[in-house]
Order: sequence, then structure tokens, then C-alpha cells
Amino acid sequence: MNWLKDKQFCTLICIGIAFYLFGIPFVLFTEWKSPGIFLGVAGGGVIGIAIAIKLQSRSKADRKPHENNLKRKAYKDFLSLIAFSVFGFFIYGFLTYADMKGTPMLIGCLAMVASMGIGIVISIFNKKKLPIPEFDEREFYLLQRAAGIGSNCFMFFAVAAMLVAFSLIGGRGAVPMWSIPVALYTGLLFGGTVQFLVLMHHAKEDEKISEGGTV
Amino acid sequence: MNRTQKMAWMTVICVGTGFLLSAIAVTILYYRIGFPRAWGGLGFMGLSGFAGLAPTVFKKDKTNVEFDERDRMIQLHSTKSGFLASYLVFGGLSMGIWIYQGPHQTISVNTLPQIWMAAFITAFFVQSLTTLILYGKDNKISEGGAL
Repeated sequence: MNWLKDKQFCTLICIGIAFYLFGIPFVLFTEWKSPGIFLGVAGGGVIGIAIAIKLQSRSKADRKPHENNLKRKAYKDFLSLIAFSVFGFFIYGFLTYADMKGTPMLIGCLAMVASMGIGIVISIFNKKKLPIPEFDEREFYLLQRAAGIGSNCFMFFAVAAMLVAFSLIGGRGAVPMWSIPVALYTGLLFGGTVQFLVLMHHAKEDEKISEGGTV
Repeated sequence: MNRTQKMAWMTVICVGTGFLLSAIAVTILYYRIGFPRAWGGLGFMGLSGFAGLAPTVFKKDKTNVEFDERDRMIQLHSTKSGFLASYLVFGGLSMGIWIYQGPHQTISVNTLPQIWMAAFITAFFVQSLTTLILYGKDNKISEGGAL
């Protein structure tokens, strides 16, 4: 089932862009910066959620007949991650700018949490249990394994970033606050990319087996 | 009870004890000397490190097959839950500190390992707890298999 039809998807994107465009003049040219920040972040959130829901809601009927399950899942997750990262950085930049201009960041964060909440509620209400499990046992195992490797890479990245900070700054120094969310987003992107690569590797192995039979 | 369950119990007990003692120590120190010195009570979290001895304490039994497909699935599920919890802690702490302090501020470099350790300990604790819950769920099914 496609949760968002093309028309609904376009409408949501247009609403998001309209919110964002409507918010910019408030921030740049007026004294009422808080409503502008709220509109901008909410607009970005709506666009991000619309793209994420669209990507996640591709049904079995939309698939190509001989499409590899693992490959499809890998691409879907990776595109969602890219969308999340792009809009994450975008919202992060907007909030930083808002803070520089003296607007409390809590307003922007509330807008972000509100749009995330709406997305989660839509996903929960639209989710229907499939009569047949989407992945067989082997695919499920490989997916979990790839997720585990991706998570380990994220942890490794966090340790590496911490050690680099210590070696550059020293034990008594201070790090700028902006570097922490940047490190978090970069780590998530790194872990997600590794997960994608592992899944693609397994998908390739699957294709080899199905072409020439099991060894 | 198999080896995985025993190891999970040991982790839960060590981390739980460390957390409880830390909470008590921080509370007492706060009323006696106040923050920031009261944070020294978090040193009790070091007790969690004893959980790392679990594989040595509970050695593998080489005579029997102890790890079947069901155990593997439970392990995968619990690992996933552990990482999910650690992501939430990591993300929540990073963004929370950022929102609280503001982007133009600076924080001590010593905060970074504290954030990482919180996520790391949470991952192990939740993984062990989920393992115990999943095995406990399965044990409720009567002998002869699920209906």
C-alpha cells in the first residue's frame, strides 16, 4: 500500500516549501523572529517526513518482479538516511542561525519535535500487517547482521572522534558545542553507509547464487 | 539456564548495582559538598566493568551444543534493542546538551567520554535485560511447544 499518493506527496512538499518561504522574511526582515523560525523548521520537517514516508511506503506491488529483497531494503534505508541527514543538517543550521539572532532555540526544537511526532503518528496509523513476512529467515538474519556491523562502526567512529578531540585539544581544553551534533550526524551517516555496503554485498552474493545455483 | 543467560544476569547485576550506588553517592555528596564535586559519586559506575569478566567466569561447555538458531535470533534481537537504546541515549545527550548550552558555547572535552560511556553502558545493560526478557517469555510456553 502506498501511504502517500503522488498528489498528496506533492501537496505536502508544497506546504513544506510554503511554510519555509513564508518563514524566511519573518526571520530576515521583521522583529518577530520566533514565528519565522517555527515556520521554517516546521516546513523543513514536513518536507523531510513526506520524503521519508514516501520512501518507506513502497509496497510489494510496487516492486519489480525479480527485484532482490536485500538490495531493495538497502536502497530504501540508505535513501531515508540521506534524506534524514540532509534535513537534519538543514534544521541544525537553521537553529544555529536562530540562536545567533537571539531567538530561543526551544521554539525551533518544539517545531521539530512536533513535526516528528506527526510523522510517527501517521506511520503508526497507516501501518498494516502484511499477510506474508516481508523477509525470510535468512534475509532477516543478514539484515540484523548488517545493522549490527553498522552500529559497531558508529561506536568505533564515536571513539575515534573522541580520541582525535583529546589529542588535538588536550585533557583540559574545551570543544565548541556545534561539533557534538555534527559528530553525531556524521557518525550516523557513516554507520548507515557501512550497513548499506554490507547489505549490497550480501545482495550481490544472492544474485550470484541465483544465477548459477548454490555451490 | 544457559551460558548467555548467566552472562546477561551478571551484566544486569553489575551495571544495576553500579548505577544504584552511584545514584546514592551523588545524592549524599550533593547534600554534603554540592555540585560539581558531587559528580565524583559516579565513580561507582566502574563496578559495571566487572560484567566484562562474565565470559571468563562462565566458560563454554565444549561437550554440548549450547547455541541453536533460537538463541541466535534472541541474541540478534537483544543486540538490536541494546544499540537502539544506546542511539537514543547518545542522540538525546548530544542534542540535549547542545540545546541547553546553545551552539556558540564550549564544553569541557571531558564531557565527550562521559556521553560515550553512558551510551556504551546503556547498550550492554539493555542488551542483557532484553536477553533475559526474551528467554523468560519463551520459558512460559508449556512443554510440547507453542500452541
